[in-house]
Amino acid sequence: MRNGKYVVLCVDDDPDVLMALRIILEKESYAMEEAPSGEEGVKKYQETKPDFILIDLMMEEVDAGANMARQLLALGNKAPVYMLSSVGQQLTVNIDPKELGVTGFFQKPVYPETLLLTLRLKLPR
Amino acid sequence: MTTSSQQIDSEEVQSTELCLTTGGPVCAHGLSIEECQTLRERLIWLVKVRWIVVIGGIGMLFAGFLLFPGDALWGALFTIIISLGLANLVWFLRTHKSEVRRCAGAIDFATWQILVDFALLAIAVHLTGGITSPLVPLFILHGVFSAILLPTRLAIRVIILTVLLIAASLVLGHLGLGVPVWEFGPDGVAPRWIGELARFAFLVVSLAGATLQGLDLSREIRNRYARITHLAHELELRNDELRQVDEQRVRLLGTASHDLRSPLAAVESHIELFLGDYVPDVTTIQKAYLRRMKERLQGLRLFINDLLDLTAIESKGTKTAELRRFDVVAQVMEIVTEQRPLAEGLGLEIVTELPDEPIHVSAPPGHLLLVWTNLISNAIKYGAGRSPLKVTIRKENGHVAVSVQDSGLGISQEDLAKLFTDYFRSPSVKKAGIPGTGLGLSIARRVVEGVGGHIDVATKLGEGSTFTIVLPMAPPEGDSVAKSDRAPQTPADSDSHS
Repeated sequence: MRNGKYVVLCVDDDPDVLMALRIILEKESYAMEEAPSGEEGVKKYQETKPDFILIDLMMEEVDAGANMARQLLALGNKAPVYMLSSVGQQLTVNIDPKELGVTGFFQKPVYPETLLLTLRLKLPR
Repeated sequence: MTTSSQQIDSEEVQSTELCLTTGGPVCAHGLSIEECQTLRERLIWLVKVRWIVVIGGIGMLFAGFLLFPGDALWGALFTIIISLGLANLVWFLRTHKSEVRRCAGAIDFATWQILVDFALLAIAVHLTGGITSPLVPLFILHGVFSAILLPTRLAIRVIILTVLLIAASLVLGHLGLGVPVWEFGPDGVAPRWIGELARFAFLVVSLAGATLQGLDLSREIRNRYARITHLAHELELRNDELRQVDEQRVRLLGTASHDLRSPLAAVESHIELFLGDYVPDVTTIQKAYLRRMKERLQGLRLFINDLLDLTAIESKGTKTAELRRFDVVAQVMEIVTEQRPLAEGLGLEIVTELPDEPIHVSAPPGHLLLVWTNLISNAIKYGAGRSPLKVTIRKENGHVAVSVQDSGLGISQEDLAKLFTDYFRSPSVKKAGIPGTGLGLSIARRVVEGVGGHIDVATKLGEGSTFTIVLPMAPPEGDSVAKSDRAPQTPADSDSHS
């Protein structure tokens, strides 16, 4: 929490996706932190201690998102971690959500109502 | 009206006899091309050796005639050796004929040569003392040649014939039938030592011939073994190269997947901002245009997804993809939960009939996930808003059958035959403006058949269709190669579907 607002960390290498997420989240009174890569994402996580984390499954490397989730688990993260993915990516990226400590997946594009519904469920006000 | 994916593209491969001339791997009588080639080379060699035998035989007979001119059998023996020479001349002339180049022709050629050799040898043996003849060891030499040159059955028949001929010679000698036999000793045609020398000489010739053939054969086996080892090494190298190419292809596919889908998702996200009133002052007309843009984008995304899914499945192959043991009931229900809001939005009720316990299958979970998604979303699309849409899962003799039944348009017989073909879309469906790519069912078929299952379709025009997927159940946990009990590639947990 920061100034009474939940902090959502969004990690994606697509600035347009980050921009759309920022518009939605800030309008709904969430504080958003962003990072363009898995490596930056871990640094940002350590700096901001977010309440909710969204990670793009496939960034600069095919398994960048999965690697970041694995690192968060190693750092003792307790915040819900959601991966952003396309259905087809699941055929090429073989991941085990349990092993990564991932709470769930959002299929791209993320629809505002779905994202907000999940946030309200996981971070009750 | 029913059909199945296996029936639709089943094709019968008819086996034919493949011979040397057709370039096939196996020739007549089960000999390989290489064996046929070797047979031809040996036959040519045998004709050459027979010239030496004929010339040497004539020389020996001539010397014998000069030394012991009194015996009447010299003429008969000359006739035999001249007959052998004439037969060899015929074989020499036919060696390069086209029929001998064929595998079956070469075997016939070998059989005739050996039979004629045996017949002439049998007569010569009979005339020169029967079982005591110095020529008897030559039978063994011919037996060795038969075993090397002829297919097994033929060689065994030739050996049996040899035994019968020797036996016949014995019986004829004892009965005093036929030409009187040649004997050595005080009362014979030549002194005993000549007989012993002749026996020794023919024994040596037979032994040398058999040994040389054996050595030649073992050298060839060693050469072939070395060649096989070399080829196996080459094959291993090629396999490594192919594996690397395949890995590169999968990586490229992943990148292409990301690069094609990401911009579309980003554009759609921005359109959502306009439609969701995150951007101020968007008019109703502008929103209508934006909705149309979104629909077209979704169509394009759907097509790219299907195309890339198909490529991924073909690239990895369901058979070689990572198999995991997981509960198929839970996986199907995840898709039902995901699709239910969409169905209900169209006024369609989804009814489920499920077993009380989990049913495990061993398959690539991500691939099967696509199958259920495709089938259920098809049932929603083509269900024409008529309830119910029924999903049934049941056990059937070691298999699990998942049925998706809609009460919609049904499929015409003409369309049914092409249903699992890539990119096939029924004209009536296109006319009705129902979106789709024509790849969903062909993807489903590939996946299901790849894990040893099949898809059946029962349909009635105007009343609806039932698609039933039958998959083999996974063996009990202890027997399987299971890694995880949970489908690891599910798109979302129950509260996070988009």
